[in-house]
Amino acid sequence: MPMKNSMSFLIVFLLMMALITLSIFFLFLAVNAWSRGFEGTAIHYSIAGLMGLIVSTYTLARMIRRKPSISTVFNYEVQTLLQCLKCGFSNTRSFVAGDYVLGSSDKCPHCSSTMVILAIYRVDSEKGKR
Amino acid sequence: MNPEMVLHQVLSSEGDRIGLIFQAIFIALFLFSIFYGQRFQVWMMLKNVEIGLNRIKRMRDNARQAILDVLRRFNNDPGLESTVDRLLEYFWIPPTSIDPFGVIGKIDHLLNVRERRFRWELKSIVPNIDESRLRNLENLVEIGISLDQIYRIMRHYYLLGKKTMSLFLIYQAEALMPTVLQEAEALTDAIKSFSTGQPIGDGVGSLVAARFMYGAEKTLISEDTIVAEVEFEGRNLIVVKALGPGGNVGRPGEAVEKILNNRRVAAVIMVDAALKLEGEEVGEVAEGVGAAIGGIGVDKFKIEEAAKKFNVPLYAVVVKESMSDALSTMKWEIYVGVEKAINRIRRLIREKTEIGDTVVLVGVGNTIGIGQ
Repeated sequence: MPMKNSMSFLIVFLLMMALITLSIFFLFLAVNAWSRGFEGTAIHYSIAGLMGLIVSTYTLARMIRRKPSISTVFNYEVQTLLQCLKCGFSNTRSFVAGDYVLGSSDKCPHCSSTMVILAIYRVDSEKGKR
Repeated sequence: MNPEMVLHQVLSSEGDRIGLIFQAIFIALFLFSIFYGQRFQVWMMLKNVEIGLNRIKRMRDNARQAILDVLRRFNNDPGLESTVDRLLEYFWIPPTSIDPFGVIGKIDHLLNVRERRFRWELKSIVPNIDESRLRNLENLVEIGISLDQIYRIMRHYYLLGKKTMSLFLIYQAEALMPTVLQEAEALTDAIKSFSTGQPIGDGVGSLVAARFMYGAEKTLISEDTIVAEVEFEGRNLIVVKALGPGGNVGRPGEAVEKILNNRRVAAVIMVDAALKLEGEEVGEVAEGVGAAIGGIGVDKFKIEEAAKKFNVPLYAVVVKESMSDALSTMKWEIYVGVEKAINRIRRLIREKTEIGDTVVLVGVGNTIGIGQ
């Protein structure tokens, strides 16, 4: 299905680009017609050109927005907050496999007693925010 | 063709001719909308459903791959993929509720059978795995099953709609798709947490209970559920939570039943995560009365029954979060909510109980990544 989708996306994209080109050409014709005094014709061409531009840009915008995006769910960092219950020193570092809340972890750099993990939490990166 | 020539040809013709062309286009569009308008609308809706379905399929495939990756750390059997596919199609049939009397007991029994059977299946694939990791793996496979179910159901309605071209069928599928996608995304968020054993937002209740029971002696009160007795400002506090740090919800209903049957209790306080409404802040704390516990309702029923039988007031403290927050690694805002919930519980105990009373505190939720 993804390949079929990409193909149809490409076809519609090319059609819309053709419509944009045609619309611009119509607007060009409208300007020329106006300058030569054919006011009725100029209005007709400008309506056609503007409608074409609106329809094509709207369709393109919807297509691009709808194009399935890669999930950003994994774009966050996980931090482990440690605290020494003896001297109160606390430290934050990246999560390491095996960490769990209220589990014992690294040695305290001040008093060398084992620190306790108080929290494991995620920090969303800007790209990963939804 | 030279644009100047085209322009000359066009402008030399009468303006009426262009008006005629526009009129013809208008009539053609009008006829098209009469005869093919609904079909075109159906086609557009089907495309929307197809796009959503593709996203769910990718999420389902990612979950399946994550399960395989975790299992391959312990077992390199070439037939692992077919085993995982078999597990992903695992189902349970809820009991009949034509006669609702005793239906909770039947659900409880069937869920226990399902859990034991499921655990046995996983244990046979990875026999050397420790209990904590086994629980995480169970949760991971449950996510895979949920995503697989969602994909199959939405695919069914998509294909049925395509086959029958029924506007109402397709309309329903399209209308449901945003909420279904939200749920699927929340489940996808949970994959990383369960693969690595990180605490999730749903674990707030467990974390609060763990903070109260830290350092005290713990005993197993029912399967995967522990209890500890601590002293709090002259009150005897009995704290219940699921056994961590593996992915467990335990059996809080059974635990509360046992405690209330054996002890004289002044109050039961339950703390859990609650789904926030749009516009509410993540980590907001609220309190009320009742059994703060989700799930299918078995534990809630047991707690309510026991509380009614012994006339014990049920107090609830909840930390608000979205579905996605509840299933993915705990956010800092939720951790702040945990601190607030602890203060609220302390205040509640002081206000609602006397010195010398026995109070039960139940930390509800998945205790993955949370010890005690």
